[in-house]
Amino acid sequence: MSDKVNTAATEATKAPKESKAGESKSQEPTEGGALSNKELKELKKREKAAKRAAQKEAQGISPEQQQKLAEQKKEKNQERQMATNTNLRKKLDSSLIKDDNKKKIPAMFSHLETREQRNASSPSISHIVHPAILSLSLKISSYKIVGSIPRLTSMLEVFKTIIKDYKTPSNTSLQRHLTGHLSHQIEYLKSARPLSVSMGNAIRWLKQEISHIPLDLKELEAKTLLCEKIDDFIKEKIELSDRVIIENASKHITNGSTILTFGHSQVLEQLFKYCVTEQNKMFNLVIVDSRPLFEGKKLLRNLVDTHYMPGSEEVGSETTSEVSSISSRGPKPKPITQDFIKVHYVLINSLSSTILEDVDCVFLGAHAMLSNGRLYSRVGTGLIAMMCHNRNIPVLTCCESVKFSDKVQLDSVTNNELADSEDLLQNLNGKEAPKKKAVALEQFMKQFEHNEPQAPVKPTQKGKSQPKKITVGEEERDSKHESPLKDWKNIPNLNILNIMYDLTPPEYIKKVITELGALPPSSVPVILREYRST
Amino acid sequence: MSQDFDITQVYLKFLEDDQDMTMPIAAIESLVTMLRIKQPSTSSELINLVKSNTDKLKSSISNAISLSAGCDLFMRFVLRNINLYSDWESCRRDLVENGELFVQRAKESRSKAAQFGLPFIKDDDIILVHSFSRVVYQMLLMAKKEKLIRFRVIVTESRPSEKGYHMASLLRTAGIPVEVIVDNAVGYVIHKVDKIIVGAEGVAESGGIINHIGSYQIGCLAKTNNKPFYVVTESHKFVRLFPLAPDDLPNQISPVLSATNSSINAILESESDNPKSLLSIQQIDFTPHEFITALITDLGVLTPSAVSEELIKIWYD
Repeated sequence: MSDKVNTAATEATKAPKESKAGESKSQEPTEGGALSNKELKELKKREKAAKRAAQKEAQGISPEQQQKLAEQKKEKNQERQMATNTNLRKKLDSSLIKDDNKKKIPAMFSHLETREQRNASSPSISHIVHPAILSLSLKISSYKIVGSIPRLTSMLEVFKTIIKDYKTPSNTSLQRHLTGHLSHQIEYLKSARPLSVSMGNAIRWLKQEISHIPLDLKELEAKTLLCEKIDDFIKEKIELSDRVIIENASKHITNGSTILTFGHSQVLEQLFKYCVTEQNKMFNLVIVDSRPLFEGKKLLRNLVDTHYMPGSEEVGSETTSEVSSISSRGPKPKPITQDFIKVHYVLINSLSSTILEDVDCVFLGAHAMLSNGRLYSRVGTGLIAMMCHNRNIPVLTCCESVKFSDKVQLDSVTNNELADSEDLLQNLNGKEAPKKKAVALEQFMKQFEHNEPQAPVKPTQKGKSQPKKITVGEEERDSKHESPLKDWKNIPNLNILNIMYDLTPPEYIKKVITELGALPPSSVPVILREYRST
Repeated sequence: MSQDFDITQVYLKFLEDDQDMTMPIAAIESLVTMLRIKQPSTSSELINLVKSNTDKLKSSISNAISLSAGCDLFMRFVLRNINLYSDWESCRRDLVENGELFVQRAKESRSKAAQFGLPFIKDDDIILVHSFSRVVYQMLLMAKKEKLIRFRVIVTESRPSEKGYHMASLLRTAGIPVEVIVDNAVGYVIHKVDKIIVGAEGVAESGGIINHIGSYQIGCLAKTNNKPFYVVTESHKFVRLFPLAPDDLPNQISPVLSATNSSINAILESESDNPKSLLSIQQIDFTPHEFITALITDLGVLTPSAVSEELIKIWYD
């Protein structure tokens, strides 16, 4: 009962208080004298309530009406409280989502942070977040930017703009304040997706660089110095490293060999292009892909978009835009997939059959390399490595040293990233990558639906800004073709798990190619030691 | 005088003059000699000279794995030292001097490795040895002469080079009981063998070894029979190579064999209707690291994965 009701009630019952006290006292001995204080209080309360009810009935209000009144008062009270609350939305989000999602993750993975929890816990600091970070986190959370290295480079680019726009407050120094300022931005970035290992490594490096800036340096100079350092970092740790890795790895792609790869990795994409454009190799490529992100399609598209001039001896790597200008004169450029790379595109389910029969070599991308030699990569990698190891196909992985982590992990359960379960339900026809859904909007819609059940929500365009997949499904499919998972949130004991990464044990990996050389996975700690020392 | 210098000739002469010299040391020696004779006048000329001669040497010698290890090591040594001096004359002089020191040290490493390996040999051991290896021989000799350990050795015949006979005769003169078996009989004797000791042409980055053909099979047999498989080698044989399979090795496909080996020549020269002409001959194979128990080197006894650590230390410090 809320206070309001109580005070009103006490006023009403003030008069007969004395008599009531006397009554209760007289009752005491009849009950056997064994009543404790607590029981006594309970008894008094009951009496009070009974009296109040009696009084109200005397005034002409029925007990049902009384209850209604009380509820109304309660609601009013709550509303007021919420209005005064500063982070009203945050509370609403977290409370509402948490309880209807907690059950929706298998108990084994319940310790992992869901996207909703991440969003809900996103700090209320959006007003000091740089707009570049806002747009970056949007891109990352909608998988527009996906993959460890693209995320890292775009993050560093954004950091550069942040540093350029940064002004040190009057009573502090850049060395002290900028780190904290960046931390806020990173905090916000984390709400999009957890930071990758490479991003963590880069952030650690950047913070160290900031603290190493000499104190007597002017702000502008310090800022340009930092930007230069970031540029160098990108160049040294990513671009040049990739070149070295590619040169090393290209030895394993020979004319006529068959290479298998999984999903999309930036360095592998460059490797395949390099083998064609620089070395004129012809080989077969099996791209294994999987739901829900279909990153293999991205690799395929990028390969198809790479062109060469058929007439000339040397193959140039022109992008489509350049090509269009050239095409007016001379022979027409052809995509490299036409003559050089024969591509098979398969889904991971068909891996077991004849696909593996004449594969010579498997190249896998990496998200991180853990210090016990385990490869932490897109979910499905472990399966492929295991199958290929079983068939004695060498499994190689290309991994820049910035992705090396000194963590040790024994299974992929303790630490992983949960993606949105809806992604697995979305586009079952698999035409495009899943869209980001706006949590706040969804909350709003949910409330809306509560008030007006079955309010028809018109989808503007397929999947666009339309967080509710269910409504899209309703429009698109006949009721008989409806997905059985449509109402999964309301089916008890039905969980949907969409996990991002898995671990590949070191015994399945033959070789890790880094810019420091190729090594067996057992030598990962060596790289870590080298990396830390530099 | 600089025109008529032929690095390959010098190299072969070094090998011929000193039967105890291994290929990487001969390569380094010939490079140092080359520097002494050619007298380069700028550092870039020096680097180019070393580079071109290394390439020449590598291409002219058929089995270039341990050779290239030596060349790469010397190149690394040159590049690291070249920045240390301000004055070019002293730099060049020191380079030649240090090169000689380098050769000296490399030569000593064999006895060092043998020294580290001594505790592995015990009384009453039966040791299986594959082919001929100077460092294995030195180790066995030391165990016999210095430690007075009584052990027996089984040597494989190691076709096609048949260097096993050479090893056996050397061991017999040293007074070690020795027995030669054909390569196919390794499985027959493996159950009574206590340990297997082999040398190496080169050690790959993974810790796997490139060695005389047949080592891989012995490694497999040793693993299934749970016998320790030791590799005794000098650290200058560590190469920056990482073959995935034996056919990844450079120069492996073409079985160009050295002209000195008479038995193979006989096979090659036999008439074409002879069924032996169908024989394809390989000289070296690659034993992956999972079959190797330990590498006994002049740096100490290493696990296979420690090799990449040593290599990274050499190349990135």
